[in-house]
Order: sequence, then C-alpha cells, then structure tokens
Amino acid sequence: MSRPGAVVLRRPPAHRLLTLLLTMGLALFAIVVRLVLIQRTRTPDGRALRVYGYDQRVQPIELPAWRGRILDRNGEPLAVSLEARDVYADPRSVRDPTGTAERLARALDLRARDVLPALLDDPRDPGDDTFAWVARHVDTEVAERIEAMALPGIGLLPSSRRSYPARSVAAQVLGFVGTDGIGLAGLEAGYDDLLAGTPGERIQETDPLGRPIAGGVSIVRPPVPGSDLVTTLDRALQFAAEEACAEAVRTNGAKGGIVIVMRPSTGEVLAMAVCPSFDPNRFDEFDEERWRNRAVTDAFEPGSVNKVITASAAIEEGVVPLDREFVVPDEMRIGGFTIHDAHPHPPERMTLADIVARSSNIGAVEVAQLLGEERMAAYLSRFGYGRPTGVGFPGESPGLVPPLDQWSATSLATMAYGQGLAVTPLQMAAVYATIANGGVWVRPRLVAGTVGPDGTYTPAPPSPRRRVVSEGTAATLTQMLAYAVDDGTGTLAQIPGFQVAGKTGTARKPYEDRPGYSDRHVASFIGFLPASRPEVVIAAILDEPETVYGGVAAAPLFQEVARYAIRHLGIAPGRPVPAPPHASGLP
Amino acid sequence: MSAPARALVDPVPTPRPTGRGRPGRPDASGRGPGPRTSGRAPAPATARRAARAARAPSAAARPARDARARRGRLAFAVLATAVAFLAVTGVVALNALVAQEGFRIEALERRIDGLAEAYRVRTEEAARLSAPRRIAAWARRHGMRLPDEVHILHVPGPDRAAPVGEPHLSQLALKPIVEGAP
Repeated sequence: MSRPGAVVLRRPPAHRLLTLLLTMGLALFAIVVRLVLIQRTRTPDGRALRVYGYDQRVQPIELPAWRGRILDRNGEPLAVSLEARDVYADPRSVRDPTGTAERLARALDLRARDVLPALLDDPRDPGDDTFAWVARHVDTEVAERIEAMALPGIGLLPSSRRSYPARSVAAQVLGFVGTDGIGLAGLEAGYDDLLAGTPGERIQETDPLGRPIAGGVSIVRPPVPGSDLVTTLDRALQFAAEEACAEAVRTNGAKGGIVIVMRPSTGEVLAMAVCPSFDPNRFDEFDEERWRNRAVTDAFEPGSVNKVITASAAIEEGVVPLDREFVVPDEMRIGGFTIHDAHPHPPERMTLADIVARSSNIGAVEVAQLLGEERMAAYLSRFGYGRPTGVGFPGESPGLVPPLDQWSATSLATMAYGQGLAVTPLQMAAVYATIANGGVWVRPRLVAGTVGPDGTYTPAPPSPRRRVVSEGTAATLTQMLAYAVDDGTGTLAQIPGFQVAGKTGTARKPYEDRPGYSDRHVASFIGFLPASRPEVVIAAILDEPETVYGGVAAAPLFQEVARYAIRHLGIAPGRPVPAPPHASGLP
Repeated sequence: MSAPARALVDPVPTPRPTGRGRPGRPDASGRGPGPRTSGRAPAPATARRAARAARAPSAAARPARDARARRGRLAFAVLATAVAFLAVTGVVALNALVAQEGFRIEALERRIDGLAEAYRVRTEEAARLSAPRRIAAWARRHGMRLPDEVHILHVPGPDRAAPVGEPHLSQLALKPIVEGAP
C-alpha cells in the first residue's frame, strides 16, 4: 500500500501493447503481401514488374572501344580516331527554339535554319519527340562551348570521330567510316572487325535522376581497343604517285588514272593511286564514283600489255624460237573480222622480241595461233586472270575471262593482244611482278601487319607464291621488255642511268550498253626497274586520254613515278641486260 | 524495479538478514525454499515478514549502493557511447578514406584518359602537319621543286653484286679514297 502523495508508476495495460503490436504486424503483413503481389504481377508483355524496376534502376551503358589506327609502312598515321561529342536535343524541353538554334548554329558553324528542325516538337511527327540529333562528331572544344551555354533541352553525348590527317592521300585504299563509326569502304570496311575492337559495358544502379547510387550495383567491363593496321603503303610515294597521276590526267585530258607501285619480291603494294581522288574527312561531299578503288574493283580490257602473257607462253612452251622471223602484215582477217596493227605498215620481218617491242597485234595473233587456245587459256589462268588476287581488299573484282568452251573464232586472236577479256590493274601489275620476280607469282598485299592493343606488332604472313614460268623464260621476257623501252614503243619511259623494262598498252573500251568497241581508249604502261634486278613494278593507266597511245600518254606517267621511287627508295641502277634477238640485229 | 521506485512503493525498511538465514534451494518435493540447516516446517507469516525485513538494506546503506550503481551505469554509458562513437567514427573515416581513394582513382583515370586523348590529338596534328601535300604546297610556295634528273655516280671497278657479308666492290674502291682523306 502506497503512502498518500507518492507517485505510482503503473505498467501500461498489456492488451494495449498487444493491440498495437498486432496492428503494426498486420500493416506490415499487408505491405509484404502487396509487395509480393506487385512483384509477381506480370505485364501484358509477360514481364514481371520487378524486371521493369530493375531495368529502371540498373542502367547498362556501352563503353565504346577506340578504333585502331591505319598506318603506313613507316608508322605514319593515315587514319586516327579522336574524341568528340554528339549534340542532341529534347524538343519538349527546349524553351526558345529560335534563339537556341541561332546560338547552336554559331557554335557549330551551321545555318540556324538547318538546326531549327531538330529543336521543334512537331506534333504531326509520329516519331520520338524527346530526342533528335543536332550535330554528330563535334570537336571537344566546340562541345565545351555548347556545354557552357547551358541551353535547356540540349545535351551532349561522348563519341569519337575519324580523321584522315593526310586528307586525300590513299583515300580509295583507306576508305572511310560512317556516322556510327562502322567502316563503309576500303580497308576501313575490309578490316572493320580488327579496327573496331570490342565495346565494354558499365552496369550501374542509378536514382531516378540518373545519379549513381553509392553501394549499388556497379559492374564495369572495360572496352578492348581495336588493333592498328599497318599497311604496306609508303605515304610519300603514295602522294607522289597521286600527284603525278592527277597531273597526267590534266595534261592528257583523261577521265581518270591509276598508278600502282609494287615490290615484286614480296608482293607489297607501296602505292595505289586512283585519281581523281576525294577527301575521306568529307566523303559525303564527293561523287560516289570517286570512292571506288578502281585499281582493285574495276576490270578493264588490258590491250597490248597483255602480250607479255602471249610471249611468255610461247617461250615457255617452246613454240617460237627466239630468232624465228615472222612476216607480219598490218592487218589480218579472222572469223569475219579484220584485225589491225596500231599503225599501217608494209609486211615486216619480226622476231618475237620485235613483236613485243613494236606491239604488233598481228604478230601476237600469229604467235597465239601457234600456241593454241588450250595453252593460251591455261597461261591466262596461271598468271591469275579470272580470279581475285586475294590482296585483302573488299569488293575485289576477279576480272572477266570467258571460259574456254565459250571462246569464239576471234577470242584467241583478240586475247593475244589483250582485248576480249578484262582484268583489274592490280592483276595486270601482278603479271609484270611475276616476270620481274623470275617467273614466280606473288600475291599482292596491302597489309604489312597489325599492332594489338598491348602494342605487340604481328607481321602479316608472307604472301603465297607459285611458279608460273621458268626463270629462263622470265629473263628472256625481261630482255624483250627492256628492248621495248630502249627501242620500241616505250621510249618515253626511259630514265637516264637506269634500264627500264616495260610494255605499252592501248585498249579500246567496249560499249557499255551494246556489243562492240567505242572510240574511247585506255592507255597504259606497265614496267619495272632496274631491268637486271627489279626493285619496283609500276603500272600507269590513264582512262580515256585525248592522246590514246599508252607509249605517249601513260609512259611519261610511269617515268615520273619511277623517278620519284628511285630517289625515295634509294634504288641503284643495275647492269644492262642484253638485247634479245631482233630483226635488225639478225644476220 | 529500480531503487527509487522501490523506495516509493515500499517505504518500510526491510530488516537485514542475519547469519545463515538466506533462503535455500527448493527441496526435493518442490515445495519451496527452506532453511538449509534445519529440517523444520515452513515459518509462519510473521516470520516471513521478519525475514523480508531482515533482507532489505538498511536506510544508511542504500544511498551508497545507489551511488555505486549510478556510477556504474554512468561508466557503462560513457564506455558504450565511446565505443559507439569510435566505431561510427572509424567506419565513417574508413568510408571517407575509401571514397577519397575512389575519387583519386577516378581523377587519375580521368587524367589518363585526358593524356591519352592529348596524345591522339598531338599524333593527328603531327601527321597533319607532316602530310606530304602540305609540305609540297609549302615548298612550292617557297620556290622549291624536285630535281629533274637522277644523278648516279659510278665508282670505277667491275660492277657485280657482293656476296653476303662482304663489302661491295664500290666500297673497296672508295676505301683508299676515304682512308687517304685528311
């Protein structure tokens, strides 16, 4: 019993506590039940809401991989990737579209009227009205200026841009990449997998405002950069070839030109110039015709440069003694058609060397007739006609050689002097490289190796090679080709102090829409130097020059490129090769 | 029940238990405690009250014990607070260190990225500046041109390739000239 005035503390009644506990327990249970129900609820597309919730919280962000560089044989960059930003707009958040467009246009060096459509929320447009690109691949400096403007509704995303610092040099070989960084042409397309690398991924849990939640899910899979591609091209020689080609095209009023410089022993392509060229930094401003690497993708009727195969086959098969004299008229009738030499002349005595040096069509036909269709077809195939060289360039043409069973009465005759079949300039250059290489065909190549992300250089495997004609046949052909430059149709290709071996070609172009030949021509000169110890093979081709003859239009182009190659590569003159048996020298 | 509360509801002093009068364990029959040393019957109610009174602390001893208890509780509270404070401070400090290192790593990564980008930009700039077209244009503007002819100087002597590892004949021909030079 307590005393009066004392404070008595009593325990709360147990039933109240129990009631409160039960109420809280029930509320908690209800929440748990509701939570489970929501978690298990499936949307019409069959996905649980928790999956949606996870997707909202956890955002996978792709980490783009740096695209590898393309280098020349000396490590000079021909294509590199630089950091950039993409500018986008959320039209619904843009407050003053006109003012924003003007400010953006000033920063981006664009016209405001070109920018404005991306900023307008067009209710008629059924597409996404929350996102529109304003500009892609913007320089980081420009992007920083735009960011500093803090324009409502304008955002920036990280990206990269491809730069070709040498501009038009080797443009058709390098190709270019599209807006999304995927190779669209040339080596960029052919080696896209190697150059692109593997994108990484950052999986991060974020709050509703997109801010990372500390301690939340955070997984980073770093990207693997692409490998560098080391080409066989020599940037300086490539530029010289392009300059010479452009000048020859201008001088001869030609439609275009092609120059290929190869090392015959390895098959390395040191230069592959196609003119007119384009700047791959602004490829969309040029006609698509200029994008093509016509040295590899286009086939043309080679004309007289093909006589080297006819002569090789005849020597290898022993059907024509070198001192045998043919009586060669200036025209011949075959299968109802009349075949002419380039210039009218009375019947002349010519050896095989003379036929090559003077580029006699009729003489070549006479030799081919001794050879026969089967052997002619076999040698065309052995020299690589009718199939791609395997240089590793996308879209390489195999050329066009009719199957033997489809040859007409004139096929053997026309093919003997390079009409009625089509080859790529690279295939033709490879034929001359075979002669220069002692009769061994070596697959041309544009890639010297790769440099992995860890900096390890991996050289490309050596080019496959196969013997096509004997060393003796190649040496005899070399003498004939040197004779053609010394005293034949190729005198304009001579270089003082060096002996050049080569052959001119003048081919009529067939109509594109009907059978028969037009009055347009392809002029060419393909040769190598020095004749005794060939260091480089050079093919110079002009499309539709005003002066149609290869010896006049293309030989000087060959000479110009050869002179630069001698200086740049330090080529020493070799010994002179003896002249082959020829009519004026025979007893 | 706390001591003050007990004081409020039970103000009557309880006599201190004397000698061996402590309650014993329950016996085997489970009927409750009994004196350890006697086998007598349970004490009557008056005796129990007396025993309870004897067990209660005396009025003089209670304040001292309360003071000790307060000091003990205070010490416990201080210790617990200190431990909790140290633990929280330690965790926060560790977290701050981790975060600081994280920021440092992030800053270094940003710096690496920045330097890598600067390297790429410089490489591109160098390639652009050394581009043959630019150099050729510059040279042309300054009146330069490529030489017209390739001039080859022939060293006297038979012209043949030297075997691998041996000096070329041209080198042998040059040897006396070079060695004779002042």
